[in-house]
Amino acid sequence: MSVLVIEDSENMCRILKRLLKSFGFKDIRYAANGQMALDMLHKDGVDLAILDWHMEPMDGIEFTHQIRKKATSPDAYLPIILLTAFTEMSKVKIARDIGVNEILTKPVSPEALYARLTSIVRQPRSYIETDTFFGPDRRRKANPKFQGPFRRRGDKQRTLAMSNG
Amino acid sequence: MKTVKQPRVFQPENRLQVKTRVSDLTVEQLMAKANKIMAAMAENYPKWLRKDLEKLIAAHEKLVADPCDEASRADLFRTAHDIRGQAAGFGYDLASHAGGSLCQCLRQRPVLSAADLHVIDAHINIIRACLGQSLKGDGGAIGQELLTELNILIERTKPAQQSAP
Repeated sequence: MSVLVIEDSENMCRILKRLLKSFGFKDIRYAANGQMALDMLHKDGVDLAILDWHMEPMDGIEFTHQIRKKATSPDAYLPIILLTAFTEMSKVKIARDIGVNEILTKPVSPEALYARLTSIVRQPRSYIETDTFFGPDRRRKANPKFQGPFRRRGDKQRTLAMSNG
Repeated sequence: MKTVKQPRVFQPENRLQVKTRVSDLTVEQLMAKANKIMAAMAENYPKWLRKDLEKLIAAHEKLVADPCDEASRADLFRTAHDIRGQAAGFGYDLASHAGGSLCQCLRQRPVLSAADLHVIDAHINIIRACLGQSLKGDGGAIGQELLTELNILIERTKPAQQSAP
């Protein structure tokens, strides 16, 4: 499985490389910013991208925006893990709404990185396509006490299944 | 009349599952291996932090000479941001906090005054102390004293909030 690490900090690249290798990843590629990564992806695809938010000239948010544009993207379904030291809820919402699959806050721990990778491989999110959004399902939490409204087709089936026991 | 496309919820093909090889190691063994690697990197982290500190000092010196030097301001922000995201992962929580606080100060102060440059210097001094005196975790009594002084300085020099019209 190939991973593209998009990060402008040499130290963070080193940390990610060593952790990913310890998890068994062999094909690890690098790009110093979003633009470089897009150029690379137009030539040769990868299976997964791990990227930083803050980069110049193209940051992680703009990169994700470009990737989720179906008409021009080299791979609109590319699983994306966004690394960020910004932990404010407003920032998390920006990342979620632009179409990242998983968010990983810095400092990176082996446990947290492994959990995000496992989630992407074993429990991939559904994708949503609307007039204004294309990307992984933005619902992050399942609330067992949620009473509705159930607006999605899948929700209707789920409620029926629930009521049938 | 514009037709609104119905939202589509779907599960794309899981490309990663077929490429994932089951490791011979248990999750606990994998984590132990990865944490050992992190511990080995932690021994080198003071060298990385020293390099980052040198970058901060260089950028600060340039800003003292020209407070409007945008490139130096960007260098300062990027390096502080890297410290924020990495230092705590290697036990330097106070340095990480100082990095984050410096980023926040830079965001709040688009034009740098002499007092702002003094605030930047105070942040750099904390990171210097973390390295020079091996202040790990919250920095103990010395670290907390430095942090209190820094917070007082930040508060005293905080730019006035613009009142709503």
